[in-house]
Amino acid sequence: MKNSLENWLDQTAANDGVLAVGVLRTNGKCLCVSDGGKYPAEKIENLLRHYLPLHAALPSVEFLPRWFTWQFEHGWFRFVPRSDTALLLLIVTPESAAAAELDQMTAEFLDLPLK
Amino acid sequence: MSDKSNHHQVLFVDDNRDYLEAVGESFRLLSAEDWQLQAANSANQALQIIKSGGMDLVVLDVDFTDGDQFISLLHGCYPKLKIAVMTAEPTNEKRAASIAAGAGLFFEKPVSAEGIQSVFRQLCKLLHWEPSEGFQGVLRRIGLLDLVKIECISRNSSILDLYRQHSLGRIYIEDGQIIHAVCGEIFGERAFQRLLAISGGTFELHDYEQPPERTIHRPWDLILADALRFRELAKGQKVAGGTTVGSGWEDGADAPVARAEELLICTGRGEKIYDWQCAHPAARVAMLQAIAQQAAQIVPDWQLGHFDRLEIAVPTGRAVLQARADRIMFARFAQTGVPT
Repeated sequence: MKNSLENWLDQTAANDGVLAVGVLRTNGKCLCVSDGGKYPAEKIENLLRHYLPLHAALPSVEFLPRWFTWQFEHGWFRFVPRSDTALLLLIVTPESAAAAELDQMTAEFLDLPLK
Repeated sequence: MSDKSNHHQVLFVDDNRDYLEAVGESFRLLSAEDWQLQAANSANQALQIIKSGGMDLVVLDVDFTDGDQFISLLHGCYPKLKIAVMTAEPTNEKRAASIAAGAGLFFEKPVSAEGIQSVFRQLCKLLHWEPSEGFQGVLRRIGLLDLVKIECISRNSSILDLYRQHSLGRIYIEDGQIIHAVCGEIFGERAFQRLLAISGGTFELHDYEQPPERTIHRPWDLILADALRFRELAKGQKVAGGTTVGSGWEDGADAPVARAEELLICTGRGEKIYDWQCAHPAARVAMLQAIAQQAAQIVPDWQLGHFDRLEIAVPTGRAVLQARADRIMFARFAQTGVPT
């Protein structure tokens, strides 16, 4: 029986244009769904665990973020930190349906019960 | 109804005479005097004027008249009369009740020249709207959320198909209860929330048929309340991020306005080319260079192509950093509100 986070990860990963999705939970465990090829789970987890140093150049007081989106030519990386310290990474194809719904998926993640 | 298609009889009902005069004069000018305006400052006076015949549109302040009952009365007695409702304090409840009572348009009282022009355009659409079979054109009159609410309150059974270029999903309502929703691969309440939060699109109401399964079991009012909360949350994300600006399911939903607060452009080597309202250009340049370097290292072996930009959504707005080989640009925007 999957929990709400696992169900949401499966549903989110099924969206057209989602290349990978991972969540670093408050207990330090990481859950990822990806195609396993170009975006393997271990790389997603590694990125999630390097979230803070990745954004260390930004003054945290001035840029207390709702999210960050790193946009590359072939992939967009959205990091979404929650107030409970859970962290989401979504990787989507630019100009895809998933790219247009990044805000939507972000809102879903922020609203997701994580226990 | 008026004989001349370009000339319309419009009645404003409000107890604020000064407001009536100011708004009335504005609409008269905007319509190039095609609108023949009358004003009433009581429901009784309004009824007397409407009874005399020829009225095309009534615009009434729902806060001062007897609200929904007066709308229902007008709608029942004069079904061809177009009714628009204005209020100084719009709420979703007022909007749904007014629409359910028979209003074709619900809007916040305009207090600026831009607001008056926007309302004028919507009233023109309402004046020229003609009812047709099915729900084609309904998007001009009510929002998806309102339509679902009306279907539920009326204990109807129906199917709502939603489109944006292609099919987005489907909502099943049986005897006033939302029983099933599908959005792509997603089913149930999450699909319903997703459908109601999507920006832009059209919908059609169809005769009811049994869904393949029932995926929603909670009462409709709880589901709608959650969907509304979720939509506001998503809207907040969009306002902060500014990546998506759509008209929404509800016609006339204007986009949030972003105001530039800071701009800095420097060369790829970090030499400042231009800055505007940048309090600490040297610190900013250092930050931009650090981020540009970080981008190069973020996924070195992932073949992602060139780094285009970093977008940051913060509670008060957003910031965009764009990096090119020869130039780095940083801009910060503040959200200045969501006009109605």
